[in-house]
Formats: sequence, C-alpha cells, structure tokens
Amino acid sequence: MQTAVPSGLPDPAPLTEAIIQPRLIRALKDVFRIMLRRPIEICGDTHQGLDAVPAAEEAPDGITRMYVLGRVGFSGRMNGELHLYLPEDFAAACTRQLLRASDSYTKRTADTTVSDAVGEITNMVAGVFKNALAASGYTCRLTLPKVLRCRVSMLEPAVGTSRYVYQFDSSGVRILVELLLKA
Amino acid sequence: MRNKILTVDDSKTVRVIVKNAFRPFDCEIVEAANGVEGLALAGKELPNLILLDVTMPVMDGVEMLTKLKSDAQLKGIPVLMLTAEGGRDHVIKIAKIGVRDYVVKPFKEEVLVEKAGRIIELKPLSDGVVKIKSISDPAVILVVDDKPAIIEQIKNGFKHTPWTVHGVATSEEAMDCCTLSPPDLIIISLSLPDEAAFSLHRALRSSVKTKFTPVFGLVVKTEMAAQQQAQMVGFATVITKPIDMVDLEGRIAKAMNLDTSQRYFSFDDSLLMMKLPDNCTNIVLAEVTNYVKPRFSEAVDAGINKAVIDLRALKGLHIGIIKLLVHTMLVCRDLGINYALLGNVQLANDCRGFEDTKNWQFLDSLEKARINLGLGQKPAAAEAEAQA
Repeated sequence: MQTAVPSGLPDPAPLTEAIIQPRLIRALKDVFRIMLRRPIEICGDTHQGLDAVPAAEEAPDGITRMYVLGRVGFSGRMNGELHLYLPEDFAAACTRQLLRASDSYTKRTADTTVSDAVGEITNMVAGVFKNALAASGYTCRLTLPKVLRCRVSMLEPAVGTSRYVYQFDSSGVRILVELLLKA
Repeated sequence: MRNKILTVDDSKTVRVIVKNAFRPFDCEIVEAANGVEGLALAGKELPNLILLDVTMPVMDGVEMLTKLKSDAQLKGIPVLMLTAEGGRDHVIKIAKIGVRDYVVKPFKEEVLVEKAGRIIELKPLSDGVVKIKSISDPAVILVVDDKPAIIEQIKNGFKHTPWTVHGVATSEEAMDCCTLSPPDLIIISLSLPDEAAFSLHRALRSSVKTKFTPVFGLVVKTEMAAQQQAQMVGFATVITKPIDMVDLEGRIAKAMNLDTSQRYFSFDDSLLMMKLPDNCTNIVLAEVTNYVKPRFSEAVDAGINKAVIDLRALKGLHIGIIKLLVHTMLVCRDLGINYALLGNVQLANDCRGFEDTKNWQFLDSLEKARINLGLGQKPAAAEAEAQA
C-alpha cells in the first residue's frame, strides 16, 4: 500500500527504546496469537548497536543453526527495516499451522511455501508495528516482504543505522527480531 | 446459484488461508496474485465478492479497486479489503473509493467469514451428495433457559432419541456454545430477562454459523404477546409450556428436515409394513401422508407388492386418520399393491360409524395378515377356525 506520508505535520519525538519495545512486543504477540495460535514472550535484554547480534545458536551437530529471515522495509517518517528470524524447523511448523497443511506438504513444497508464509508473517508483524507507531506520528509505508535463509550473524547493517535486537521465546524456540532504523 | 469469491493477494499463504476459511461453505474460490490478474479474473468470472489485498506488486489493491469502480460491468461487485494498514486515514481513503468492508491483518478466519457473510449469503456445505438426515442420526439441541427444570425436562424427554441436549442459562453462554460448535437446533425461552431471547435471535441470524439453524421459542401459553413477537421476528415455531414432548419431537424433526419414515415404515423381503402410533397428532398424520407414496413406490421398485397397514395401536378413529388411510389405499390400488389391515375391536366398531369405512375388514395379528396376503401357510388352528 502506497500510503502517502502526511506533510506539514510537526516532527514526532525521536524514536526511543521506550516507544519501540512495547509496540514490537504487541505486534509479535498479536500475530502469533491470531495467526499461529502460539504463545510468545520477550526474553533477555535488548541488544543495541552494531555489534548487537547475540551469539548464534549452535545446532546439535555443531553447525550454526539456519534461520528463515523475513524482511520488510519502512519508508516515511520512519525509515528502516524489520527482520524476523525464525529457525528453519520452526518456520516450517508455523507454515503448516497457517495453511493447515501436513508435514509432507511443507517437505514437498519446501522453500517456496515456507518462504511465502514467513514473508506474510513478517508483513503482518511489520503492519501491526507500523500502525501502532503511526498513532505516535511515525507514519510510513511498508515495502513488499523479502525472505532469505541465513545464519544470524550474516547480515551487517550500514553505518549510521540504529540497530535493536530483541529475543523472543515461543514454547522454547528462540526467535529474533531485528530493527534497523536509519538516522 | 453457487457464490464465487475472488481472492486477490500476492501471498499464496493468504490465498490458502482464505480458501480454508471458506471451505465449509458452498462457494467457489478463484485466485489472483496481483491487481492485473485480479481485474482480468473479475471480468471473466464476475465473482459475487472480491477479497482484495492492498500491498501487492505489479498493481496494488488500491489501483485495482479504482479501476474496478470505473468499469461499468464490474463496479457493482462488492469488495472486502484485506489490509495490514489499520490506520484511520487509510481506512477512510479506501472507504471513499468504495469498499464494503475491510479486515485488518492479522485476522481470524471467523472474522473474515463473518464479514463476507454480511455481504453475500454463505450457505454451509453439505458433504458431497446431500444425505438426508434421519430420526436415528445424532443431533445437538441447545436449550437456552434460566430455569434448570425446563432444561432437565427436555433432556429427559429426548432420552429415547439419539439427540444430545445442551442447556445454558444466558444468551452469552449460548453464543459461546454456537461459536464453538453450532448446534442443529436452538430452543430459547422467551421469558429470559431484558428481552434477551430476541437479541439472541438477532445475533444468531447475523452469524454465518447459525444463520440457517432453526430457532424455537419457548413460553407459557398465556404469554400471547411474546408468542406473536417471536413469530414476527422469524422464530421457526413457538413451543408452549407445559411442553408436549411428542409434539416438540415432531416439530424438531420437521424443522431439521429429518427423515422420520422409519418410525412408520419397515420392509422385509416380502412385505412393507406401515404402522401408525397410538397418538396420531396432526404432525404425525402429515408426516405419514408425505411418506406414503414414496415408500410404497420404493417397495414396488424392490419387488414387493404386498403391504400390511398396522392400526392396532390406535385408540379410536377420526377424520384425519380416515383421510390418511383412504389416501394410502388409493396409492396401493394405483401401484398394484395388495394390503391387509390390522386393527382392534374399538377401531372396527368406530369404522362402522362412517360411510367410507364401514366395509373395512381388520385382522388381529401379523401372522393372519401374511396368510391373508398369501405369504404363509395357514396353521391348522387358524384353518379350522376359518372353516368354522
């Protein structure tokens, strides 16, 4: 949706952790409760700064765990990107839940189905977060979601970007949400 | 005619969610992945409703909506917007272009179906070929009454049936029950405080899940105003207290369109049995009358051309029963079925009092009826009795 950003309005107060965190938690909780029927709680401290990414989890076989990463951009009074990291097997489970599909279905259609579902989950999280921020004056528009598979430590933000990393727990599964906000 | 819903969304996930949401209803879902495809399909399929995403590549939802509304052929198709943009300004903007309603993502399937159901008629889907439910099939009846004794009476009254009766005291509990698992029929006390029965009826009618569920009112005989109001607003029927359970059972069977014929008709390899119960109410007579021709025809199709009409349970004769029996005899004559009547002394005496029935002959046992129809050996005693 190409929402026009209202012009002539006073600049909103600078975005702070106090503004971001509760809205992001709300967004995650809404999407997980309504679409995935799974509980989710924030856990651990917020990590801020360029070196904020927490240590990548080690998979049982010693290989760094793979995540499906959903990315949605914001542009307007707030510019940046929201990244949602879901462990691969968890992403497949969420896809099955969303589509009411069997295990074999997600195995057969593997990457495309799971990617599409993670893209939509990320889009919904970003949408709820954006709507909540719009009420505080941060009107912006969303980009189409993009999805890729990666290890958590892969992406490096550009210099001059504020980075917030939040860890969530959904029934023992660690989920990461990364928010990159341009100055 | 079957409703057609066009879902336009670049996310296959959302299109599958939409498909799953409408799977229990008699409608066809067609899909498009962007506004261009959506417009083309709308022109080709002329759907009854379009579910339109906002953020899409190639052509987004707002552009498609604008083009749709400027097309004389398509502008009348109602559009329900599915959007991640829940802000007031955004909603006003899309409302101005002409959407009927919108659903903000994330959304519950029930909410989507509910909103779609306000725009088009969504009929629950029967499983494949329509199977006529019979009186011996399980069914769930929800009774909404703040008097536990009434709920208990209805539960006890239907113990002989395969029906399950759930009782709740308030309309809120009733709505919870219906949301969780819609019953087959609902009985509401019209005496619930604050006219709750009528507001509950409105809520049930506006919910897709219970839109077509028969709803009965329940009230004391003297509450004429409530009975009239219930009839006016569309209660299927009003049951008066004290409850006549036989009458209620008949009305439920009728409202749920149950096949009750097995109560009155049975077959074996050589004979069709039609049996009337002792309490031949008008509902019973109407039911049996409707079944006579199809059941006797069915017998002929199965190679059976003999019937026994068992009236031994009747305690007397009245014009309704006579009409039914005359109708049955005519059907037998037309279909070439030989029949025998089983009756009792009281019935035989009553028959002598009517011109149409004075010549009717009754036998007193099935065995004699079978012999009379040429289906069995005459026992020695019976033969001797006949000769005497």
